[in-house]
Amino acid sequence: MTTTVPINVTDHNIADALRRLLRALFESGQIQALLAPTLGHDRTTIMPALIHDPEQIDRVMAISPAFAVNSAKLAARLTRKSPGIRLAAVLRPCELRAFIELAKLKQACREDIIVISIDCPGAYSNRIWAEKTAQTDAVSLTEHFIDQALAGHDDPDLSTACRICIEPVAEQADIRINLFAQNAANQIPAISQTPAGQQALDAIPPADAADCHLSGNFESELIARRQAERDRTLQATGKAVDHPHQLAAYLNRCVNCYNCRVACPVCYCRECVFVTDVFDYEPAQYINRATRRGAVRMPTDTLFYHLTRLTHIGLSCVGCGQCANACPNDIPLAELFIMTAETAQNEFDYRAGRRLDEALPLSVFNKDEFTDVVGMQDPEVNP
Amino acid sequence: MSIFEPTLIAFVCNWCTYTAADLAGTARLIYPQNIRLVRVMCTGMVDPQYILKALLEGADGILVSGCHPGDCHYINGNYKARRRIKLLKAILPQFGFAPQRLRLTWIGASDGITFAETIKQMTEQIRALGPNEADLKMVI
Repeated sequence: MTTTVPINVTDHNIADALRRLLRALFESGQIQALLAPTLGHDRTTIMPALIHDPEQIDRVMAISPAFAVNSAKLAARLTRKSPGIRLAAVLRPCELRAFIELAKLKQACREDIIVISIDCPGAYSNRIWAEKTAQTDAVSLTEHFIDQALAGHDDPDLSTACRICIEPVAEQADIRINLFAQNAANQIPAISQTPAGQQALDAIPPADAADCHLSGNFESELIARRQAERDRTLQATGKAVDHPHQLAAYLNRCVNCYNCRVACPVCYCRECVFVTDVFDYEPAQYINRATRRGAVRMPTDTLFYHLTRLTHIGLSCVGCGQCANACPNDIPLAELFIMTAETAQNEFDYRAGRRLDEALPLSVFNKDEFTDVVGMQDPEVNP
Repeated sequence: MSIFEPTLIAFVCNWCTYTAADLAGTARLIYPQNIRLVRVMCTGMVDPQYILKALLEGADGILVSGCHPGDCHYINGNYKARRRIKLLKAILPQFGFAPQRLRLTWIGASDGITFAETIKQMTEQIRALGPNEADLKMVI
């Protein structure tokens, strides 16, 4: 059984319609605290906030093309131990997928949080968002953005990760806000997808009854356009990095700031090996390396760092693109990671964040699998 | 023209392949000197990082070798290693590393002869393949 609650939209103000739903959830006692994107006092920036006072919902921007951070890590901080409160979070589909990966890693608890996820039209990079909000205020920019998205116009300014995202809908959310429904500009269905979500929606007073038109062709057409863009992009990326020299050139602007690692929601180590003593070289070690190779790039270990991250988190990468968003030198990291993640996840028939009960590939094994990687023969090379 | 002498790095588990290497030594078996053994307690502790580091520092081939399935001293470390090798063999070719540079074998403690044969075979394979794509001329 699912419960569907229609949310009426007036004057194209979807943000306000969603605020009414959130307020109703607070008033019914179904949620007592909410993690949601919130407009800053500067009226320009949108950052997640943990809201306890329902009056603060006035500032919530549940949907907008601002995506400053991936909130999965923040939601994980709130559920690392039981929060002892009815907690909800508004998460993008990619944020929820990352959260599910963290839950599998025992760094978060999925049961402790009600996840509300809105069908996602995508987002701008922080840089583009800042440029655009210098011209227009955040609220009208968001309204315009959603109008365009719902009219089926693909925004060329979306971040690369969003332009090639083929999972814009969160089937795993407790409550899905079906923005891609046929008549969403006037009425958005809020659909429960889990018992927890159903309990929450059942508790709020029913809105004016109306027919809800669930997702029509909009969703499948959007995904098809994104898939085509994805194929083009990943093919180009594959060609750009098909040799170690090429990969090194691709990453050569890297200054080892490790922002991509900090921004990555699924880079799960509590302490990264790259900031430990292991990489705290003696001067003589630099000189030795330079002597052996003729020259050594400074700062060192850039390629090593990125390859390590690709192998460590490739299986959990949800393709949110925050690595690229965080890069101060505009290295196109999103497509590199998305390409590698797709390859890696295909090998194990795994999709990061698809299901909570799907084990992380490196946490389990079967006795009789993958015998093709054992031994001195490569089927494709030595017949 | 001089013959290309590849550099091979082998991560061998203490309980099986390292012991096999010992046996090969005491039995005075001859195998190429291209291999450098790194003894680890279990192939299950070989982080992909170790392999990447070896490749980027110019190793032409990397062998990970441990106990036969069912024989792991730590019960299942070799199965975990196999999944990591599977992952690396999927990822590395995207960046132009030949998949033959990375090998996983099971060599039991009594398999001194197999150890020597494996090293011979791998040396010849890598010699035929040529130097690592991430050669030392690369400024990284």
